[in-house]
Amino acid sequence: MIYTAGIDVGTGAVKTVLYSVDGAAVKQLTKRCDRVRQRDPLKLAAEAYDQSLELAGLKRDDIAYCATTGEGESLGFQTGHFYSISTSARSMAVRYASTSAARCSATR
Amino acid sequence: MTSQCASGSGQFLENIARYLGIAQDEIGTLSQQGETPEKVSGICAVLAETDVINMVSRGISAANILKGIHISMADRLAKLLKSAGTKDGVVMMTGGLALDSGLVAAMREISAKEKITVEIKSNPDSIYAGAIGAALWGAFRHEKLSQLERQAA
Repeated sequence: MIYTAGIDVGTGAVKTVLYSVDGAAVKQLTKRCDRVRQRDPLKLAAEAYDQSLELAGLKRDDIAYCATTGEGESLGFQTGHFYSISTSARSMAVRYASTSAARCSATR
Repeated sequence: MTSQCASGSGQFLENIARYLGIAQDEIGTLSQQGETPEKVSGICAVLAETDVINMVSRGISAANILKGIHISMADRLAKLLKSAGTKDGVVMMTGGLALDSGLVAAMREISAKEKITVEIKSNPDSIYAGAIGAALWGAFRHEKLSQLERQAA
């Protein structure tokens, strides 16, 4: 089993999730949405990430892959970055297998 | 809004709500009360904001302004669906605006008008779609990289 993180740095909010993944068994451990409100979004993302890890009883080293999307590419601790359309479509396609996923995101 | 990016549409709607003096939670229900919506620019937020300022000075109601914004966004999204060749099936809306009942209603209205026979759906976790997808892609990429490392060893 591995742990992964997803951080979406948007214009108005930073969304952070933690998952445990064991083959096809995928479980959400934490999720949080922090409004940016004139704060530094990257600093906010780092704080949200650390607090999520604390909540899940994990450390940064426990995360096999910390993935960012949106404006999160500049986060120094990320493992990799994904294009927003791919990430949004992936999440909805997984949740609603056999449906076509289109993106109508307004978080960026 | 472009074919690749929502371009801060949610932030734009938040700004408009603040300008109109209404709470974010009211946007959806108020928009659905609009009967004679006034459309705004669906591409440029600066132009759309100017459109809204003009509407307020002309005495257009908040309901009709919001409905107009939602219809303009839905028009743009319907064009994107058409250009992607979507004719049927289920379309999931993602992002914070997928929780805006006014936009979801406008999307259903415009899809029907444009004869795009898709089922428009939203999800309470829509706002997390990007983050969730990133975490899932991360797991996928991690597995692929591990496989390559094992093959190379």
